[in-house]
Amino acid sequence: MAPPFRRGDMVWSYFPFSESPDLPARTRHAAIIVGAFSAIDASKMLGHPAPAYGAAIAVYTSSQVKKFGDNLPIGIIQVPLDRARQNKNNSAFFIDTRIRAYLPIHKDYFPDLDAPDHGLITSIDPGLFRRVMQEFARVNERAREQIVIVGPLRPR
Amino acid sequence: MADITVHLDDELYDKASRVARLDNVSVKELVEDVMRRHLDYVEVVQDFSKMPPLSLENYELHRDADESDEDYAFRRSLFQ
Repeated sequence: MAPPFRRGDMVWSYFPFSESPDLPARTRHAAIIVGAFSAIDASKMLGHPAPAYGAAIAVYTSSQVKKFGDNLPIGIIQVPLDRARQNKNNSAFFIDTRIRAYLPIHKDYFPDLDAPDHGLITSIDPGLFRRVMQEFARVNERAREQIVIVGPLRPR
Repeated sequence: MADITVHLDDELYDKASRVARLDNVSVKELVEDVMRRHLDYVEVVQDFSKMPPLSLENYELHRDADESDEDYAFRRSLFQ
């Protein structure tokens, strides 16, 4: 079964905190999907059926736009109010491509998964998603030590 | 059915009573419900811990229909 998310989807999630990286957060948080995955021969690897929709890698977003001031660290994308509105958000926000969640696509991590839209807030515009990918790559190349990976499917 | 006695400190009991009143249940029912939800949750988390970590060896990156070969290859390279 194809995953319910596409690249660039901004969705409601229980994005884990780094203090408890396996556990869903108690409050919902908007995250941007950068990749949706299907398990390969899942039942053979797991010995039991995998979650129907597979897994996803998502990056962190926040509306606390003043957090970084004028000096943006590598990996951060500020989305000003006008562009945020174009992307169906009522306030400016930032995307932190350094903070990544490796999550099963399951309602424990995506609370609205069973809703018709699966918790989709918006699909960000292609130009913005391209920037997300570029910053993601820059962090991989130049600032690996700043990457924070959470979620029960993170590499160990 | 097992019977157990649970001792709650006064502050915790007061809070539990308030929440139980709001939910129109007894404190006993509230405690049972909290325990049941927590056990369900632990079971789910343990279930995920049996899944292999997300890597391109174990999972296939889904390609969107409108994504070019080049874009897909670039995106895939980010997860290696």
